[in-house]
Amino acid sequence: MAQVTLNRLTKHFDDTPVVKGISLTVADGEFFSLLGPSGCGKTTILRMIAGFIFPTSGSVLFDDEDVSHVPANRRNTGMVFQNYALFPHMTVSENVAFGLRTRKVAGTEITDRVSQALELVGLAGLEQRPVPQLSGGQQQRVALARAVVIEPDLLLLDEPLSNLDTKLREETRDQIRELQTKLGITAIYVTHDQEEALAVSDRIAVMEEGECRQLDRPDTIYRRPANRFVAAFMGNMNLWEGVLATDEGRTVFRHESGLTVVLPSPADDADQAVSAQPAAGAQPAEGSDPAAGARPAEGTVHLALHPQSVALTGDEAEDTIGGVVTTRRFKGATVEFTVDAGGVSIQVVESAEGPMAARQPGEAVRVRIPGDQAIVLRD
Amino acid sequence: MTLQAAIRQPRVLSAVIRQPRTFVFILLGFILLGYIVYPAALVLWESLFREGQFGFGNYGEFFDPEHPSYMEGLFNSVMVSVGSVLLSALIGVPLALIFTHYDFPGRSVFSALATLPIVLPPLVGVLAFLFLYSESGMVPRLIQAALGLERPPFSLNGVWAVLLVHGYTMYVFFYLFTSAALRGIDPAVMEAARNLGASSWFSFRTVTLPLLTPALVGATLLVFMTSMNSFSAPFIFAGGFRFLSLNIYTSKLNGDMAMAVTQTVVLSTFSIAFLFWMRRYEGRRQYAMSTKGAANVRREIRGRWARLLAGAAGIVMVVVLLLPHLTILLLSFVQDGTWTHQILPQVYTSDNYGRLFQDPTFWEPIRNSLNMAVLSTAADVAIGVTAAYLVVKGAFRGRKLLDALVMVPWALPGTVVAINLIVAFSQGTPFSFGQVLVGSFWLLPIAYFVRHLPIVFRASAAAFRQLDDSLEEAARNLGAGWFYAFRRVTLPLIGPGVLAGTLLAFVTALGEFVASILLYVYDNRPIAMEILSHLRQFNIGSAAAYAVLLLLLVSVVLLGSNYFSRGTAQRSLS
Repeated sequence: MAQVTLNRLTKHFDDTPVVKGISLTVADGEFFSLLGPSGCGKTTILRMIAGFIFPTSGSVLFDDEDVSHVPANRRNTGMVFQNYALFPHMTVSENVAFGLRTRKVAGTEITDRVSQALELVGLAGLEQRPVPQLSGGQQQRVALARAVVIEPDLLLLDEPLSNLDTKLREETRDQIRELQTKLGITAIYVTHDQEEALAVSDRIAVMEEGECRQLDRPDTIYRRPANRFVAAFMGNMNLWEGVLATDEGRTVFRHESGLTVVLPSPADDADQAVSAQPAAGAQPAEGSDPAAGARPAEGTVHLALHPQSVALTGDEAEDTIGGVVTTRRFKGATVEFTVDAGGVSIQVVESAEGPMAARQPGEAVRVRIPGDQAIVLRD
Repeated sequence: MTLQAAIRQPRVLSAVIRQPRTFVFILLGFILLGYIVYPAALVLWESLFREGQFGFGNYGEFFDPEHPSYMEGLFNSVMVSVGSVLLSALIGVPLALIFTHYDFPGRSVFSALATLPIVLPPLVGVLAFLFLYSESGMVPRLIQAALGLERPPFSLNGVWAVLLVHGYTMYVFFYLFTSAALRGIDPAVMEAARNLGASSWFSFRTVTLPLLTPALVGATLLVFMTSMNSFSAPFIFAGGFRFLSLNIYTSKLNGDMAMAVTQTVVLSTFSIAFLFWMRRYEGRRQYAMSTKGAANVRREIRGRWARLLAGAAGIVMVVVLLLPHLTILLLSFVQDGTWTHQILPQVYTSDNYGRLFQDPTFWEPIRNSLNMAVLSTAADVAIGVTAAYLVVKGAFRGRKLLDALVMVPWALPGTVVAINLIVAFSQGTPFSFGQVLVGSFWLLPIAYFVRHLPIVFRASAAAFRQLDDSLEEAARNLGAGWFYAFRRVTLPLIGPGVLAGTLLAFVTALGEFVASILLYVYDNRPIAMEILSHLRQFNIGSAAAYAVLLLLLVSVVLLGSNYFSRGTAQRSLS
């Protein structure tokens, strides 16, 4: 069990900076995710924590010990690799026993701990099976057992689910979280899948081009993305570019298509205000850019709105805009619409049970855009 | 046949061969039977006759403990082969490990040069070693002169010389096999071992080495077999030492055909046993491994002294590797008959090459070799590609048999192929349309054809194996006729692999020596025989000039092959 601290960590490959000064602390027992598109530096950070590569500058601390240049085999971390990296010439139990053998654990104890670990991941009875004969999901769980059987201080997971099919992915994802909670082990999880990260993490660092763009709890990141990158990365958010203007004392967002959204004045709802402020308790990461507390009065901004916040409606109130349904996607519990409102494309999610769910492409509709749900993003 | 099975059948194939199928099979059968099976069977049959008496008399004599001279040849061959394996592994494996795991200045150049010995035709390499390291060789005598010693500090001959030549030429097998296996190991597996607490040595012992084992076994068998069958090194260096492959030649020269065929059978038995042992290993050579994940990162050698050391070691390696080639080049400028007791030749001239343009007979051996190589390679392509197609894509009984038949000559030493052909075609047979081929132009190209058929076959089979049946089906589905599909889809995909095999067969035929020495006649004397005869007359310059021309031809063809196939050559042959 350990707390992990990254201190102004940078890594250059042939003078190309890949990680640009990351500082953050992963608490003891925390499930922490590094989330971002490929090439954002998340795997590089993980490999520096594992000790496969060494930082160009900055340091990695386990508790208070600087391990930046400690060789990988002396760090006592357990890693689950993207392709599992099982030893193809060994059986299941030989694979799991490997880390115990390097630690010179006695033979009988090895047998016990291997079977315990295999039981933990639900593979009891497959001890003697050669690894190539296992299915992808089974191989994944062998890799997990092999990583936890050594009782590591830190569990490192490098996109462990990317080679599994959807159903198995969700199952295994929950299993990993369950195991981590049960063992109370600190885990660092690398993924490019925002749903995965939101589902399992205590906290998430969203990465872009070697920098941390936001570090927060999953719900905060989802509800209050700090910037345009995070908002876009979180999925099908409405994201419109426009200007802020003051109109009769109110702050108004104007899109070039003519769409205007009246934003609540800061005084109206101080706690909900636009914001990219981190949730209480979470520390903003170095490199992330916490927006200023006060909403900027004017200038080019982006407006982000969750499609669930937007609604199809019949009435013609002030906060609505007219448009035409262009696509309709039935998702079971919900229906997703894309509405073209005079040059601006609006994503809307309606409950499948709701009165507007039956609207078809080509039909004229009105869309309610609630200003108090909108998030103003400066960058 | 179920519908699904019917769909999985290669349509194009069945469409093409339904009618011509019988014809193709008869032609293949005629050639394989006539030039591979029949000669071998006849040799086996004749080895059972001793002075007209049927029985195991010849074998009794061979294995007679009272007269161990024949057994000695076998024993020595085995011992030298074991030594060659050890020496080649000692050179090749560390080299592969270093080039794969470490980065240092000049690494890519050195790793390319490491395969250089393969370009040396057998006789040429041995000659280079003779002039470099033998009693009168340049290296021992240079050291003698430099240190003011009374006699050369060492000289190479007998069994040690043979071993060294084998080590020099055969380590390449270990180097290539090990490099390929190392490249095939997912680097994440090594990282996993480190992550689980393994030291470098522990992970090498428990992970790397077991994963390399199949490649090492493959290389071991290949080197052992090549060494058992080696002829040129013992021929030049052995002196009084007996080697089985050489004994066959001597027995034939002495007119003891009964013993020659018996020795041939013994050597073939060994070789074929090894071939099948090796093929069994090849089957389980690859562990299925995904290669997704981080790319293999070479560790850079840091530190001034370590880099200097690596650089120095690299330069020494290049010198040692290139010395044979350079020696041949140097000697090709020596005026015939002028190099006797001096350390280095004193009189240089370009006459040896000048004769190229004046003496019309100078060209003859080169023309002969080119003619025979073209003829034999053309036949190799026709038979080898057809057989590969049938073995890989066909579905008929006897597929395995066809595969084995085509591969057998690969295990057969050149001496064995030659003896088989001599025995079979010293009288008229249906396969030679009643002609006696011994003493004619044709026997040698036939020997080249038989010896190099497996090269083309292997390369083509590998290419066909990589070819997904559904590609042909997709082409057909899009409306292509079979010929159009073959021309636009199949051919471009298999072309590079087949071409690589073809060119390799061609260059090997150009430099062939072993079968040539037993089968050549004046009218078709190849380059290698011309080199040998100049050597016997101490025309060192002329011999070397021919060797240089041969090297040049081989290099040009191999460079062209690399250019056209861009790497597929290595893939299809490894």
